[in-house]
Amino acid sequence: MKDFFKCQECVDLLTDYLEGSLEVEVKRRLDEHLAGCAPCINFVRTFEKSQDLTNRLREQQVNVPREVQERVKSFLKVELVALSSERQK
Amino acid sequence: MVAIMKVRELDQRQIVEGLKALDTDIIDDFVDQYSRPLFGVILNYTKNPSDAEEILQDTLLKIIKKIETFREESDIWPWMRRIAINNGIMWLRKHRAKQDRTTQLEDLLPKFSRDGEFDSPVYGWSVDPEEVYLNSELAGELYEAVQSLPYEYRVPLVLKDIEGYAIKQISSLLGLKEPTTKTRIHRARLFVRERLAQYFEGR
Repeated sequence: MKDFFKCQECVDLLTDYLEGSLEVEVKRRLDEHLAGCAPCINFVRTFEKSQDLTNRLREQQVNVPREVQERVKSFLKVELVALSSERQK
Repeated sequence: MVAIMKVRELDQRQIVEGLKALDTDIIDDFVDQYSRPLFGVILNYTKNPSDAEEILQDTLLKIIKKIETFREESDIWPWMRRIAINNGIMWLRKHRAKQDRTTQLEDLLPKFSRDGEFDSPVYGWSVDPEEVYLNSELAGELYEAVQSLPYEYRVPLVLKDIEGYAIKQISSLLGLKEPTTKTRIHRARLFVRERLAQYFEGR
């Protein structure tokens, strides 16, 4: 194993690094690289930011077009008739 | 945080009883109330509107059919959300052959020189993550980025970073080994970061 990590190795290990699942020694070497590498620092920050933004897609509001909603309702009405006659049997 | 539903006309007990009784008025209100959040979940699995509509129909029907199995002491929204997610995944499985594979993941992973350094400069982004609620353009860009991931990367990423599932759950849901799931999520995250970098840097 080499003594110093390259940017590529840092990028490969980033998910494990950020969730804290790296072995102590590997983490130490990654920290060592990060301390002196501006591109990697930018990469880590933007990687985290990107993930944070992705998490927020969960709360995104969407619109359901009215005609979709109406079609869904008519679909369900037909299905419900079938369903209730099934139950009465 | 923005609540996902602003109007909650029916309470949970009314919904459960109405669905059990196949009460058409209650079911109409239920559709009005829950189509929107369910559609939001479903759109993470397909961006095609007519496919999403089909999945929505099927999801609502499943909810009605399965309502007897819902444990009433728990909250109904996560239960419905899970049904929508499962339907989305099942739909993708069935249709994955049809999916276009124009996006090559490798094209958008970071590039390195032979000695392992970044091939091109890495910039910081001057974006406040809080802005994402206000800025629908950014949300749209991000959504497109996630959607353009190949299926085998997109689903693990959606389940982890949007739905908040654990690696273990995702692996068993998709029949993958845990290290595979983790690798795919990692690569998908790299891809999404790269797409956003292009957006922020105006490339």
